[in-house]
Amino acid sequence: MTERDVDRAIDRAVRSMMNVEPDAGTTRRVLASLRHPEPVVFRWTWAAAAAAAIALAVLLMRGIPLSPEPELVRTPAVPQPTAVARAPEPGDAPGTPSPQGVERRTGLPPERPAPSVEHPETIPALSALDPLVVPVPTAADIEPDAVDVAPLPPIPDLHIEPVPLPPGSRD
Amino acid sequence: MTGTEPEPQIDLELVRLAQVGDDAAFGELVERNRRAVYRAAYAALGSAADADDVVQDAFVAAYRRLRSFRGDSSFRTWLLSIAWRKAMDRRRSVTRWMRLTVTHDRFEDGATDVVERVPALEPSTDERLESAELQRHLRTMIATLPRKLRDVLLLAGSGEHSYEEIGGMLSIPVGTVKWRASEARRVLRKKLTALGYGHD
Repeated sequence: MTERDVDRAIDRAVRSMMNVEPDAGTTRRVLASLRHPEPVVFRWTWAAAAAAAIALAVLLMRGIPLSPEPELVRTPAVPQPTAVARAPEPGDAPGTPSPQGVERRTGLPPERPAPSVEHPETIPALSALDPLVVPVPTAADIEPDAVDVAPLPPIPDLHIEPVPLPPGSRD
Repeated sequence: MTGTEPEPQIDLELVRLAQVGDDAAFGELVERNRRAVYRAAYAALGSAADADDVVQDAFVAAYRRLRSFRGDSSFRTWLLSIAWRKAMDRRRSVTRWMRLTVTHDRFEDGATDVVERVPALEPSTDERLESAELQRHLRTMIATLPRKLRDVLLLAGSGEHSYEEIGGMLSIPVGTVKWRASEARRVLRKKLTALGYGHD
């Protein structure tokens, strides 16, 4: 191939790659979008939705809980009063029914007066706690007790008896 | 308007009409320039669907900015600059990158078969096969050229854009446009020689 052939081949390749035509409805679509422009709010809604989806995906991928776990608050158990039959006392008015009597007749618990709560103007400060005093350990405190090891008994001498050779064997 | 008026003059008159709200005049501007805009977008993106979207975006943007057009350059150059910027934005967009990694649709439209359908001067079967193979190699090489070289080569070869227009679109001097086109050819020639299509 000559250089001219190569150049011609390049021209043909470029022309073939660029031999494209726009869609026939381009003008109509452009004019339609000018008459009915996409509302800005609508576009922002899409953008916000996409951002929210990405944020959600990131959170899920990182394993972060979506909301903090509710804190468990332990409330002290309030002792429920037990119904104890009470004998009428001499001071009771004769027509006044006892609370237990009301409960028995109506099936509803009698109204109890709300406990009065005092709201002091000032709350006394908590008394200061004494600091914990921890003695500093010394070397003697942490030194272990001496360990006595008894010496092992001496090893007795070993005597090895010669193995008797069978009769007729050569030395 | 008369039939003897030069093209930029016709565009300018249509722009003046569109600037005072004549939508039909703007429609005429779209019709006259849509192919040039489409081919520019296609050269940048290599995808018919992306190029269609860019054409639409570019014309809508041009319509909205039409009042700011003062006629310092031709309407066509001004419009192509807008379209090129839109195409670059799309080329950099993450969504397009993700789609391309799945579909690989760059420069794979039916238009690539045009050369193979048009035999030149009754060549033999062997010559036709060799030519088709060469064209396939060349298209792959062009698609993998560095972007700066490829953009200029394709824009210049589209038959729609002069070197001056390309310079205006890419915001580079005409001399740089010519150098890039020449360099693209040099790189392609070198690769072809390496494949055995060397000079005699």
